[in-house]
Amino acid sequence: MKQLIKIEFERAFKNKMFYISIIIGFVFMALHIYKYVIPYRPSTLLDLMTQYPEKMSTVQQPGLFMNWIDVYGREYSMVFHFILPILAALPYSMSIYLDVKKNYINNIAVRIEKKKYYMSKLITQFVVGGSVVTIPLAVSFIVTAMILPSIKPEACAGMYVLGNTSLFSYIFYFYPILFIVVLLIIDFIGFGLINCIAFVLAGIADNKFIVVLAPFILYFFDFVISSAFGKAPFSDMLTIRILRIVDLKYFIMYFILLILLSSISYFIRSRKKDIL
Amino acid sequence: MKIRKSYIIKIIILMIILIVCIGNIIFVNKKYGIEPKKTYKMNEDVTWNGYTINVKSYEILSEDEAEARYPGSKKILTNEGTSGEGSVLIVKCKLSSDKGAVSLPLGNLKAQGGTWTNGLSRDMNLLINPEFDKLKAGDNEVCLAFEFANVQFVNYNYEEIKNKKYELVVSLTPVISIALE
Repeated sequence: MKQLIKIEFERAFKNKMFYISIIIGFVFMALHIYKYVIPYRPSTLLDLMTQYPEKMSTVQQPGLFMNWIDVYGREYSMVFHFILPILAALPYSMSIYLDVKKNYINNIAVRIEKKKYYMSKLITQFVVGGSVVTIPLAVSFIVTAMILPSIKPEACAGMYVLGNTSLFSYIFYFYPILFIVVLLIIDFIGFGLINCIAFVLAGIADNKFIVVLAPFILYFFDFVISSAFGKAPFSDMLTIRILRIVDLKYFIMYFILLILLSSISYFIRSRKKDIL
Repeated sequence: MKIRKSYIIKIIILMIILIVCIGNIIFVNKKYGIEPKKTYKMNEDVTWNGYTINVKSYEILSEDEAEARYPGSKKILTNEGTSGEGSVLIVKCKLSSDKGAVSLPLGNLKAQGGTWTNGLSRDMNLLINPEFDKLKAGDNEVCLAFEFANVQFVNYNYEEIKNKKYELVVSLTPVISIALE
């Protein structure tokens, strides 16, 4: 099993589609840093503070926790989060579908148990989905930290989306580093689970593009339906700065639903006698 | 065991990147990080940009208590909170300035408690002090009102609000506040 996971990880991570997904993520991070981090670097700001001390006392100095892409929001963050299910699905989602089509699965099935093969596929699918999201975000956090000082956020600055009704506002204002860690973990798990939708569809769909696009289609479908009913969509909840306490139960339900879908698909396939 | 040359090179490159990143983060925070937040106590003179504030006392009133003290306030608290309950934080303070008879920067004052925050409520302040808009520097003793609107809370609970700790933030760069306790 360990060996199998290692092979699947190599197929997923040493793969040009993985590099393309990561590079696209880096492009969004770089655009955000160019537009919303570099102009706020403190050397420029300190001049302003010396010239206009009265005006500066009414605004909080921009810092790491104010201007980092996943806290600050704005257009690049929105587009990045919108296309994330496609970026996450690009590197690996086609592999199960192609394993069957190219008969690679026949060679595997005679050597090891089917359930081990599918489990390694599911784990890899999950980890790839999470990595495509968290690697660019973590790198952008480090780059932002190299440009802006780590200034503790103050709720009264009026520059933060997190309010009194936000689920993670307490952690954000009192332990901002912990908030970033929680945010990255939730993004990793959330997009990892969304990426597992491709695993579910790989056994049903008859077209490789549908398999790759399945997580995005579901993600977008949920966005449209939830918005139509005035509820917060899963995509909004995953940008946890806007996750509200009242949405927590729906957030957990989404997670349970995604875990259930992947587990059911895994058990059905593992028990199926015919691998084709 | 023989270690491959490429691994050693990769590790060295990673170490260099790590050192550069950590060094840069330390440099930025040492050079540009603002001074730590200063929190003063009540009855202490707090001076910033030529203004001085001294908080004498504070109290939190429910809308019924506020109505009994300042008739007409229930309507303001209910309207501004869109619906349902509201309450008000009243901070009694002395304001002065060394800049002569200039307008006081009252709009910059914010009340904060945990993750809750609000600016001054103009309507409530006008009700408490009809001259509020014309306040000029001098030795003014004023009551400043900050509203708790029920929409700012998941479950509005007056008793919980009353028992929380609050502070009056007078400046954000650098952060200067007065603990209300």
